[in-house]
Amino acid sequence: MSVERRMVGEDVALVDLIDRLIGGGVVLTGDVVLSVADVDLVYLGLRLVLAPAHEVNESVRLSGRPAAGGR
Amino acid sequence: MDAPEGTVLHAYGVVRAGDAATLPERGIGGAPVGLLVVDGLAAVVSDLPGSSFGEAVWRAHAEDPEWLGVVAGEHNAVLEAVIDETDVLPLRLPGLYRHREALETELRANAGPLTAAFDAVRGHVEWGVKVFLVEELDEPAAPKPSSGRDYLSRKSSAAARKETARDRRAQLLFDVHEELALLAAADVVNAPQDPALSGRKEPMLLNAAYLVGRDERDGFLGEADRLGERLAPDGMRLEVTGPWPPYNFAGRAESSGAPGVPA
Repeated sequence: MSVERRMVGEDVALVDLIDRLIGGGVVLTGDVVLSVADVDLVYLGLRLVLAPAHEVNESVRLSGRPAAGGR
Repeated sequence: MDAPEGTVLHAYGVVRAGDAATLPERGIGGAPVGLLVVDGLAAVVSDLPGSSFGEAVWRAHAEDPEWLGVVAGEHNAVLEAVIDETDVLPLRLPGLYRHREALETELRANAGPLTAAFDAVRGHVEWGVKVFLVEELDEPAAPKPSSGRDYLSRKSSAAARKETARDRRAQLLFDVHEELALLAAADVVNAPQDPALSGRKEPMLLNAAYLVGRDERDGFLGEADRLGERLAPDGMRLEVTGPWPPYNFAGRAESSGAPGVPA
């Protein structure tokens, strides 16, 4: 089977959660307790904790179509 | 009204006050989930004990995948219960506020961008699509080279084959993304996830997200299946996750106020 579907709520991979919950979403700063800069550090720290640097040798960045909400 | 003594206010996301959002009873750490209504907007919130989820605990556990995984999972589960029927703007973690007024002020100050963000995601949810290279094909076993020259020529033709296979994969991936994007109101291609974080050895070739209408779920998933079959002969596997709150498409509503002041 070449296609796997993992519905949210079944068995969500930590990396998918982190990608979205810390990398995405609406930011309302103001009097939030931890600043966004702190969170970026968290993400960086987590990467360092989980493993030494790995490299993805072949990755395709698609650029033909402007991402509608791209960063 | 302040949050009860010793608690912090955790915000999961924002809904429109007029939508009858069905909230789950419990959120992070089993805390009750409620709404904080400000004009036309409502934040989905919980009062959490500071001793378990306050700032110091966040700092202590922010690099602890197990703790973070539980909190992130519970945060997401609350939003997931809402998105089946109601549009929601997910808030980025950590979403801790000292007291209700702070969050109310933020919601008021950002009412314009938040309303615009609702307009952008109205009736849509997010689906994630990843493609992995599960096997590198086209490496036939060859008899021992008869000479140094033979060895070199074989080596270079193997390299050329490898390159051709890579070009072919790139084209296929491009096509797959284009076809899925046609079914989406918006799309974004993110950097591949770090294998260190994903725990997977296969290289990730595509990490994309699509904003898809709730009504178009079956069509999108059917197309993803079809495209996955198309990738399989070239050693690639397509994986779909979702439906997600629109994390990749709701993040434009940055605060217009002063930058965040860390405690």
